[in-house]
Amino acid sequence: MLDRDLDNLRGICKDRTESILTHMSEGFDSAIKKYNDIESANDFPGEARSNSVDVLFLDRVSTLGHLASN
Amino acid sequence: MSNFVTHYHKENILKTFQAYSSGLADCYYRYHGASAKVPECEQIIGSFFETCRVHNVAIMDAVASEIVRYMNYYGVQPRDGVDEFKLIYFMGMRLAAFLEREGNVTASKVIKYSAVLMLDDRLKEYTDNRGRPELKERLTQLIRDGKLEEKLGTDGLYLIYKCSANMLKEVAEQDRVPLCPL
Repeated sequence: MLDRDLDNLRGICKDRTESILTHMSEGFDSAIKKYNDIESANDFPGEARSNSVDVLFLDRVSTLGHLASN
Repeated sequence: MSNFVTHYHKENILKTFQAYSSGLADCYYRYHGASAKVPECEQIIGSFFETCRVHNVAIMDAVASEIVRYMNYYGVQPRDGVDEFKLIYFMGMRLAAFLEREGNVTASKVIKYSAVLMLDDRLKEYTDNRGRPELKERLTQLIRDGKLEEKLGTDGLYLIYKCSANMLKEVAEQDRVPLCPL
């Protein structure tokens, strides 16, 4: 596989990602709705142990390209 | 009482999906190395996006269900949101499971490999940007052999990286703060 082949394939992934994100967003809304409709699912047993949202990776990159090229 | 949906941070879960989908070609190339082939990569890209299009609700439902199962089983109650390790791991494993169910075993392995790359990258913060190359190689071998779940079960891969990150983080904090300050 040549570099230009990989560039083309990256472009396909990028374009298709953009077009499917709305679809996945709607999928998330539909999927999550049932949990909000189920009272029992709103309770988490046990003590709180995790207390912060840790999104360093997601804040830093939006693709895996830099990982695969390292 | 906590509202389930507040723990999810839709934006983060979509960013996680985006990391898998937009990095698919790169991960395929790295997974296969010299034996990477354009037609096979195109086939994997096609099957990935078609599976996501057809099963978008079921995939998101499965990701949410798995995170809830994990939190309920281990008694974890995130106060402000689901951590990034869970998002990466459970999204990756569910995407891989759907691809495998559709008969796309190679695509499934590439997604699992992507998960390992992302989780390893997440450790770089605590390891002078090195991650854990040997661990990554051994996990990659399990993926190639189709033995990842057999050897590590439903949560093993997540626990390896999450616990490693927590330990490394604690060590870094101990180094900064003297145990017996004068």
